[in-house]
Amino acid sequence: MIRFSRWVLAGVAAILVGAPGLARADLKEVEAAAKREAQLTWYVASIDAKNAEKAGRVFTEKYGIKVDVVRAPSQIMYQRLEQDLSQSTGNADVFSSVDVGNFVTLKKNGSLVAYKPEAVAQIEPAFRDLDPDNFFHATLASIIIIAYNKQKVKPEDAPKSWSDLLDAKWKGKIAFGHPAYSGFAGNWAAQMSKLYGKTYFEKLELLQPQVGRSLFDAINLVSSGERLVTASPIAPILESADKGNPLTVQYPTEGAILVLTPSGIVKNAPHPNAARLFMEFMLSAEFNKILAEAHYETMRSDVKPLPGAKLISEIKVIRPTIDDTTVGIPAVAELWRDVFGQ
Amino acid sequence: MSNLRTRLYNLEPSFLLWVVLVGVLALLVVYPLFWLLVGSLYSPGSGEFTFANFATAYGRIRYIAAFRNSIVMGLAVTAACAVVAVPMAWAVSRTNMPGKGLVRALTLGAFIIPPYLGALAWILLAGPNAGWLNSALKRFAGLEEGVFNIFSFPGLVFIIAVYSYPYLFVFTSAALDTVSSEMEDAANILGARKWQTVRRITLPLVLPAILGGAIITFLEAIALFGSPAMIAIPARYNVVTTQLLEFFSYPVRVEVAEAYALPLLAVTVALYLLQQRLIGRRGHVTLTGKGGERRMIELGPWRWMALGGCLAVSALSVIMPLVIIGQAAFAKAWTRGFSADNLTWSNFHYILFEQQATAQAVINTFLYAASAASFALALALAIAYVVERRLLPLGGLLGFLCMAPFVVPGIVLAIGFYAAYASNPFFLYGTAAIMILAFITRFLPIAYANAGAAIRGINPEMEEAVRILGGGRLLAVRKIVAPLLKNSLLGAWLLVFIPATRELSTAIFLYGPNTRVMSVMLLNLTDEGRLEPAAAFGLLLLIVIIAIVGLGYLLIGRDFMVRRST
Repeated sequence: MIRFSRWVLAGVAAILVGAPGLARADLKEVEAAAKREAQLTWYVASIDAKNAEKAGRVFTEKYGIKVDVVRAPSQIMYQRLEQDLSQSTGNADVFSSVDVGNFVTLKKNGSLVAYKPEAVAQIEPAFRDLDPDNFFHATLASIIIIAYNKQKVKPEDAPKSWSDLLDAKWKGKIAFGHPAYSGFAGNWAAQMSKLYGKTYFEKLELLQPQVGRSLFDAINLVSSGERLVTASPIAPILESADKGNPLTVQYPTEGAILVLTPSGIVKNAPHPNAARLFMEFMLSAEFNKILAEAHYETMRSDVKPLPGAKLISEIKVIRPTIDDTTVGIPAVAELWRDVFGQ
Repeated sequence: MSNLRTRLYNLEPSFLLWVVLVGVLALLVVYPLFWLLVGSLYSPGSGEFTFANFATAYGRIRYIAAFRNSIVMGLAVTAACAVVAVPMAWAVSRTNMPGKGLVRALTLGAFIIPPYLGALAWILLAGPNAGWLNSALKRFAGLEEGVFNIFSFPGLVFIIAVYSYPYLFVFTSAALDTVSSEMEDAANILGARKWQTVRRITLPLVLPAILGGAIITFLEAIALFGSPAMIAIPARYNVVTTQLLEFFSYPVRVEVAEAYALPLLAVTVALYLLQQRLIGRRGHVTLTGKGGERRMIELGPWRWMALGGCLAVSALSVIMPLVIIGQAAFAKAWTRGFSADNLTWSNFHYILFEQQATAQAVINTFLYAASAASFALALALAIAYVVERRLLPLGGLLGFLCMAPFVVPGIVLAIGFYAAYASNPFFLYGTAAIMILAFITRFLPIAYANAGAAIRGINPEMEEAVRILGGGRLLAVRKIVAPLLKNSLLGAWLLVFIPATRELSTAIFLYGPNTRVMSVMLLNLTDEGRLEPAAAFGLLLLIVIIAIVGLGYLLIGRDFMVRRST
């Protein structure tokens, strides 16, 4: 059971802002209005462009509403959204990203619209009520694990723990996403900072890891054999392995990092009803089926995960607190830049 | 007073048009740069005058190091280009080396390949572990580790140099083409050997041109955004353009970016002025007034060596990258090499049909580039006409404003446009308009230089005839000037259109969710590590550009791209 007691506290303060906007309109009306809007812009960082476009197509086929997918790493997407908001330009309807801290800030600034999808009742209780005021909802979950190239690394040589990554034998062999750009990398780095402090990054820097902006870049580097090891959400690793790429997964002994990634409706959304309908859609069985096929955790009991992946209940998991993300990620991004010089 | 009234009364309607032109230039060139300066001096929150933005921009060692790194990188690129381009230009212009047409064509090839596409190719070729060259060395030479690492400072310099050397090549060969053999003959008669003549006579004669070209190369190198974003970020080598990107990440600090960009602008302006002085001096020494004879220097068996050297450079900049991009574009996984079971159309299918955003980007790219080329050329032509025919006072100022964007790095121009037009009162943020306007400004100097040259080529007598017969100025332009300029205008249009299709550094700060262009998408795909679709996308862009250049060749003649316009 995931506990978000702090959220309840934060929620009390937000009631003033939140309560009037909280709408639970009849779903049929929302759907009809959404179809009239006929369009939706989705700022998404939590899944890769290919699956995001796929989800968009399924939505379009179902409702006849065209979906513009804009995908970039979390902090770049967030920067664009903040830029939109500061220019009072309504571009995005729905924002899905990895860094919960960004949603806390957006909520505080009144940049999100509260909406409680009816489908919330259908998802597993553990994933409900990420924000008790309904400004954002968990729409995807994934664990961060160690991934390596199994063609070039034998299982017995593979790193077993996060601290194993500091072994000198990985010099020039590791790849990461940048914590100041990628939300998953940010979550990972924040936990490493919490577990081992600054020295973790100083030792890592000596191994000259290759740092790209997106985490998917790191995955492709490992898959091509350009690099051998990375920290990554499990889903894209298993999806890539399905396609025949030589990738495999190691559950680190300190614990895999469980990340719940939220979605919310943007304040000046040009298509507010399509946005609501899309929030419903992201909790639906159809969307979760796309996620499950891409090896993300399924949030509904009626959608079964693909065989092969362990269930969260079977492995050791680190659950980041709200402070870990809201305070931890910006801090670790700056720390990273100071240590790595970029 | 009454004098002014009569003058106003007698004005041609076309005068109003010229007034409009001045206004347009002010909006396109002066206003964004003005905002760049003003924004850097004000606090965004309180609106008070402050130097705090400069303190923030230069208050960290990392930020200052980025500035130093850019200068070092620019110098290294320029030196590398000089080593390659000057001998190549000499061999093509002054010797009997065979295959000159081929060398010129391949140099043009290096010129039209977008630098970020070249960077992508070289990631595939010289990635430190899986790169083709390193794999080959490991397999055939039995090495344990790869030798080449593109993600390094030498890698960055290399990747920029192989796509920048055409600037120096064009400058040097154009100068060498004007040197007659007389002075070399004089040296020979006085007993100098061949190499001595080259070193002591020919090179000093064209040295101002070489230095001028070197400064342009330097300016282009430090203003580049794509290759540093792809190579320098993983190499952890921070330069000014990647640092500006950081100021544009969350939390966006436009005012700090403005403050940070101003010294860069100062450097480029100073160097450009220096370049103009150097180029200006060239005329005194080489133009003899007599059509001096130009004989090619006999290289003997060395001529094949020279050709080999030129082709080796082209192999690095054009041939190898094209082969690898072609392979990756049709590959399921680029590392698996050339084999039938690795062939697929799926990358093209993916970018054109599966990913809606990329398909939209193709349309945007050509729409914006065509709009920008048309507007820029119309504007440049009108202004060049005013300036050349001296129809208005302050014509020189207009010409200067048209050329001014040349010294503004694209990324700095984008920041100025963002500050001036994104919000109140224009609200152009994320629109196609801001992209097209920025492209117009960015490429206005190219359009203006070409339009000016074209108009200088027309004798005013013909227009005067129209005026004597009672026709207005606009009629003269429409009936006489425009038809006469058709060909050179088409060439100028293409010269704006082609760079506009591949423009990245302004687009990256100005695009919105619905106005992404191919260069931006290509960078996104590379960011995600989706190198095969990125290669397919790049190949598509390149094929279109080559087709357009080919069309230009057919319609206008073969040297319309490498002709120097001064």
